[in-house]
Amino acid sequence: MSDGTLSPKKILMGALTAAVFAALLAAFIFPMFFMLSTSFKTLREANITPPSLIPSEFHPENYAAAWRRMNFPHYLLNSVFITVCTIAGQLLVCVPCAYAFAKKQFRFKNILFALVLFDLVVPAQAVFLSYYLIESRLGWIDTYRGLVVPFAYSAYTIFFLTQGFKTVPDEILDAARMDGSSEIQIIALIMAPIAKPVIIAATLFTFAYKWNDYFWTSILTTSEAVRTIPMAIQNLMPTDHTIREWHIIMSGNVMLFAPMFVIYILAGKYIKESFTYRGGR
Amino acid sequence: MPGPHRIKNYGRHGRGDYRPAINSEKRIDAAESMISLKGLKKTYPNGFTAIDNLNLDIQDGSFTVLVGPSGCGKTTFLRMIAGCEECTEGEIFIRGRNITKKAPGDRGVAMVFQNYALYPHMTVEKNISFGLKNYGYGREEIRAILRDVLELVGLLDYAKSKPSSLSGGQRQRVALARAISKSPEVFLMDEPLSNLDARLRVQMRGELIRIHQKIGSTTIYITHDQVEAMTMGDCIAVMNEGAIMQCGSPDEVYNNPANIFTARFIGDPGMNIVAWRDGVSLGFRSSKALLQRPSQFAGLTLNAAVRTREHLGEVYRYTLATARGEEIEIRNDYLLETGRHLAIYIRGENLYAFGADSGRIPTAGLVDDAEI
Ligand SMILES: Nc1ncnc2c1ncn2[C@@H]1O[C@H](COP(=O)(O)OP(=O)(O)O)[C@@H](O)[C@H]1O
Ligand SMILES: [Mg+2]
Repeated sequence: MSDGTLSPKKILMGALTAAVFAALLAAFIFPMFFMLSTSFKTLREANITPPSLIPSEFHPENYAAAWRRMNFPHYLLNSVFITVCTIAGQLLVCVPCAYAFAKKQFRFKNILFALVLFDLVVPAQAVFLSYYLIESRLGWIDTYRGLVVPFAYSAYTIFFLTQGFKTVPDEILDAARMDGSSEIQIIALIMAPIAKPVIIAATLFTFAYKWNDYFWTSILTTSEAVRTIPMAIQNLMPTDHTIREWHIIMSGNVMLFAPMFVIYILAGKYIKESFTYRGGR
Repeated sequence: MPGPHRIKNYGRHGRGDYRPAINSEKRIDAAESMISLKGLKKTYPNGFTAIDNLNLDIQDGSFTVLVGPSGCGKTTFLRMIAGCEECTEGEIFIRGRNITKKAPGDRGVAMVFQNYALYPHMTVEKNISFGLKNYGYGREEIRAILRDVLELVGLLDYAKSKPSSLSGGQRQRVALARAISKSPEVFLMDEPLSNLDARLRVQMRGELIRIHQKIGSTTIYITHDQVEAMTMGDCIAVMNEGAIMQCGSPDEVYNNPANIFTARFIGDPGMNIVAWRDGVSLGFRSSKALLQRPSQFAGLTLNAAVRTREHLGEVYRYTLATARGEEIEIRNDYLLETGRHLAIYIRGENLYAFGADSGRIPTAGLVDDAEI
């Protein structure tokens, strides 16, 4: 709006922009706010219609109740262990894969990459039965490895890393080769540190995906032994038709969400960097 | 020549296995050549042949400049020697050892890349020691080498700086120090000065020569700038379309060009070439063109019209068009009006003749009295 005049068209555009922002705000912020607000309410206030925005009394002890009733430490440990192992597995598998796709020439490269891209659009619902059948043959149902090993491969992570690795200049890798580095050294000591923002961002996405995963955990587990926090929250839901304790459930949700929020705040810089990444130049 | 520093041949402690004495590979005849290239060919995966049947011998300790227009295959050529690009055909020998199939790190060569190719996440010091560690140098040794090479390039105070905080010239010095640190048998430099501004370029030219004289390693230096080639090289290889057109001393390629391409490419300005008869072309340097017919003249009389004039300070630079429309350039302190028709005279001994295949042919007796 350089000339400062307000034509009807500009007013309309301004209003539309404001409306879109408001909608986005409502869609993203409001549910979180409502979750947080409800987690401090009493059982009665949590179930009134219309719901209140701000709790009239604060009940932080809801968190203690959620902690106890979920048997939170057990699930927290499972969540941490499975998420960390999955991330480590992905770094071991997807980083070399992405390096090869981005920087090496080999036979069937284009076909293989096309398959990875195709995998991006295959919904989990289409393949979960195969995963289930294979894992039950292997006896991996209800084990940590059943929840980790298949997820060390991720089409999304490979794709994301490949795009980032491509921007690192070949000259630098050649320089490392002339410095006597092996390909493994190049990946670990040159590519990974240079493309650090991209790798951290990919790790965070994997973290969020695995930490919040309910679908796969519910399919590949049959007991509480290796289940994670999202399933524990499900356990807070009553199975009969008694009243739902939304305040406790929301407390559980906040406990699920909090670590991710903290990590996002700590590493958000890298996520932003990864999208404008230009190969360390 | 005594080196200025305590750098030893890398591979002494490390995994390099290219010392000739312990090498079982067949030694070839060109023993006095440092580098010998036999029938090199490079065809890229897309089918483009960038280098075709290239043969070249490079003498031990020489500063060889490979010069040619952009896109003629210079980088490809250098990357093949470095091992960064596979040879489609042909063989590469260093001191008689066939290194065609060796990994880049095992060839005893170091390279200075066009865009520096420093490791952006490492300090200057780490950039240099990274390769040394790979070659198995001890900590004390690395420290001594670091001090020597950083001193040599004048960057002792920048050991702990990251490349991003350095200027272009400083980055280039780091790249140079990194290459020197390994005291390679062969240095490869790909247009190392092309990213620097003009003044710095001239300064770095002198410095590169000084460093070369100090450490005495065989160097292959690439440039598209023939001035750089003439001032730096003790041997110049002129390249065009993936082939070496001529290889010789600066004097030789300037005064004794083997073909039209070299004649036109080397020199500022390049040689004037005009078609004569039977497919033969005649060439002459613009400084040898006379505006007055000397007494006892034997040579070429060339009729032309002045097309443009530029004042270069001491002299004028003219472009002239011959009757056939060929353009030639002369420099003279005479003031000539554009559009003027005149004859210029070139003595027989200053004429060069080229055959139909554009190769040089003798002029003796050919052009005692020619007129175009
Ligand atoms: N990876 C490649 N694939 C196909 N063609 C290439 C590749 N690299 C270079 N070329 C082509 O090879 C020719 C020589 O390139 P290059 O060696 O970079 O020339 P120079 O360094 O002399 O400018 C150019 O025509 C270039 O387009
Ligand atoms: Mg080049």
